[in-house]
Amino acid sequence: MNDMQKAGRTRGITLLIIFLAIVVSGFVFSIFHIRGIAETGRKQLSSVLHGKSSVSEAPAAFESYYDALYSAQPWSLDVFSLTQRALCKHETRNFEVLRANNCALYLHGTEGEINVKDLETFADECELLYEAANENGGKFLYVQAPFKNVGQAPELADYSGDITEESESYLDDLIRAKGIPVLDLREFSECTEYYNTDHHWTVGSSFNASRIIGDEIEKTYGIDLKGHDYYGDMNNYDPVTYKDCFLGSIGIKVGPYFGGRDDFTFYDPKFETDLEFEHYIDNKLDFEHSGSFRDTFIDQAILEDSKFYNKFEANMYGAYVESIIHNHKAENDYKALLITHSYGRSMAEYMCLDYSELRYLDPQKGRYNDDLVEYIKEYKPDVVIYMFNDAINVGDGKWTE
Amino acid sequence: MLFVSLTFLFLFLPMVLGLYYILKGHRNLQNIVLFLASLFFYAWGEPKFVVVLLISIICNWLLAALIDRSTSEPIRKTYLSVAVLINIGLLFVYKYLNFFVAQINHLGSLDIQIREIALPIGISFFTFQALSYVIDVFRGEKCQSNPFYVGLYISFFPQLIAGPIIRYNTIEDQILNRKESFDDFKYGTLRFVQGFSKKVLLANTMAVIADKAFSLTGGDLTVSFAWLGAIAYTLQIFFDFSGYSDMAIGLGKMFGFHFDENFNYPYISSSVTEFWRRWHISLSTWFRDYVYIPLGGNRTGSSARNYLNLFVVWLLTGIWHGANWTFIAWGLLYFVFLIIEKATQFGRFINDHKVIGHIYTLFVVIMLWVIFRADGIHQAATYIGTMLGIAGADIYSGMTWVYIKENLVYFIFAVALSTDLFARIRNKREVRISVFADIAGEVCLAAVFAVSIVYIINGTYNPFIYFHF
Repeated sequence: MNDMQKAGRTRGITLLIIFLAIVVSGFVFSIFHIRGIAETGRKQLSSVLHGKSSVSEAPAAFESYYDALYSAQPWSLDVFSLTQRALCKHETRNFEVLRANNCALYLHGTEGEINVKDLETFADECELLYEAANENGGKFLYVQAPFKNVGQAPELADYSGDITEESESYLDDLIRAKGIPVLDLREFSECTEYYNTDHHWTVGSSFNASRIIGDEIEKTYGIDLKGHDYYGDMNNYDPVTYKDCFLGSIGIKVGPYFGGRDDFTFYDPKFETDLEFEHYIDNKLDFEHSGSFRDTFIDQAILEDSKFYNKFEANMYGAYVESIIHNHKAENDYKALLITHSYGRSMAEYMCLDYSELRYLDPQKGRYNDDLVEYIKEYKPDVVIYMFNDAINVGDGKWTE
Repeated sequence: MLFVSLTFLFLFLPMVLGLYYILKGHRNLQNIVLFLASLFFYAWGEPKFVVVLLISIICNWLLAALIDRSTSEPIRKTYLSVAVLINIGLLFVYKYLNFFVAQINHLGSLDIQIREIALPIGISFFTFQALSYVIDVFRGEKCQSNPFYVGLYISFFPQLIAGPIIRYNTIEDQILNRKESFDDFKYGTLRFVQGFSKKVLLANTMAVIADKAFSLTGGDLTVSFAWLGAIAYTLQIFFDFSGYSDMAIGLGKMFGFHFDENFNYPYISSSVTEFWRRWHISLSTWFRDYVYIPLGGNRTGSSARNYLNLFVVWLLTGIWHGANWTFIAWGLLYFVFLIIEKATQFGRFINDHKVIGHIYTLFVVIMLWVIFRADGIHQAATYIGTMLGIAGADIYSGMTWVYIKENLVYFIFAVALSTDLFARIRNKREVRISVFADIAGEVCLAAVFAVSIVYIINGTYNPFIYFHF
């Protein structure tokens, strides 16, 4: 047999073997999940037979389930992120995720014109909360949180024209024009550190924000939050770091090799604490923790689980609806209400040290969606800190659908 | 069902292949498996339209049988006319009725309301295929008495929804007497893997750029980005469609079928005439055999009549691609350029000056793809105006470099693979090292295939252009 014949006979065999190995592996993988696949097929069929969905929707629903079996496999994300990195890309997933030179990941962001009408509505809603707080003699502070946005990475300017900053400044001006005190945390660089792979600010940033907010309340309203200077001093805490373990909400879309992983650090008080923390969903107790700072707020199981990537969830055990924190070592008897999104999870655990009681509500859709004005009127907090800039329920039925 | 889906790759394909080869030696059972699998494949996309497909199969089988049995020429012609009416009627109702009514309303200032009719995927492909069978029987080719075999010919899943358009006489013998071989299976795998990767990695990436460019309006679209978008679309449509054809040809080989090639490096053409000998060959051939030649072709004795025949073919080619004036304009502009090449000295000039011919052809093809891609004539005109720098748009924006830089590797491979560069290299390679080179090449291709699957798993952008035709 000459070289030519040998080449002809062997040509394609390697590819064929690998092709068959891939296809058969996929098929065997399907067999391993045959129960789920069969159950999904049965449900789709039943749904069609009972007229709950049309015949044409069933294949798409099945494919959605089937595709999810593969996308849930870490190796697929690992390979994807490796290829994107190998290609030296700064964008991936059709420009949904952008990577700065320092490996910080950004979502593409909102482009176009700012939505003045929506912002005016948000300002009006803020005014209703302000008036409700005033009614009971409570103090109110609107806080503009710093948000991670692609505008913070100048090298990505041509990738996305983000209007987040412009929009937030416009809202601040609207709220100030109503005579409501506004604190813009974007002006404090110590509050603008974010996880590379997540949309959240770091625990360190939220610690600093808590201190700055306390300072502002004392300055604006002449309140003395006894102990605030001590609790707001980072030197009184031990940093506890879990290295290279955190793949946040943006990182999980693109895998660990595109933007790397983050360290997760929280600050454990050197001083003694005595805290009680309850989390409620629909006015029912979901869970409670008490004792030291670490026992009360930090979910150690999440931090120690190498397969659980979203370490931000370790803050306050992932509380997301209504959190009530009693600080038995408080040096004053003020009650405070913090209304904010998930940023509050890492902030409330430090902010609570300034008050005898802190309640934290997350008014995002699907979280705490009862009337916030009514809540303030009933709870009668001494301080209301409102750090939110989206639609909320202030009795207009927005969340009642 | 999409070839580039996990459901196809990991469920449908292994099950059909497995069942098919388990039944080796039972040709009829194998054909029944392929027929039922094809119906399931089609029903997966839009279950209710499988009825349309079945009606097409039954009508065409029946009418072909009637033509074959009849000895009276007028009756045979009547049956043929009925077949043409049914096939074109199906196509008209599902593909063109909404457009037609909209034009009537526009021209007559009327308000005729009809409900929006969804387009059965691949209807243009299987209708043309079915029609070719009946016409061939009318012309004296062999008629198939078994409706399952006609059904298999029309609905065979590898080429059902995006071609190539197969003539019955090319696979008639293969339906019963094909011989599956290890070499064919190997080659089929190679073509499938190539097509899959071309589609997922190149066509889909180019689609992101093209879609961005065509979505920009007003001052946001710069001259440079308009060119980038047009070039990206030129590459997208090639890799989308030729990738699908590669997969179809490859799958056919795995089951022992041999389909003709549909593309032959069209972008290396040095004239528009040559481009159409290399692009969507099965469609060009269909129009040549079933429209152009029956009209008299270029042997009518009259130049005007010859040109009229060409005009009809290109008008129909445009219409075949879709119910929009953009497709009609696209087809007719090709007619104009073909006439220029045939009727003037320009054809001879570009034949003598290949480089100029090549540049001219690419320019024409890119410009006409813009018309093809645009949502309407107005957008096409604006977009081309921007490309030519006469729409007052800025020349350059940073976004252009971003899209080039981010996709540079894809662009390099897309441009290289749209030419015959690798084929030339392969042909010149030394035999002595080819065994090792082959293995290395195959490992690389397999890696590219695996990455393509990972792209699919991770839900990257995955449109398919030719399903709409």
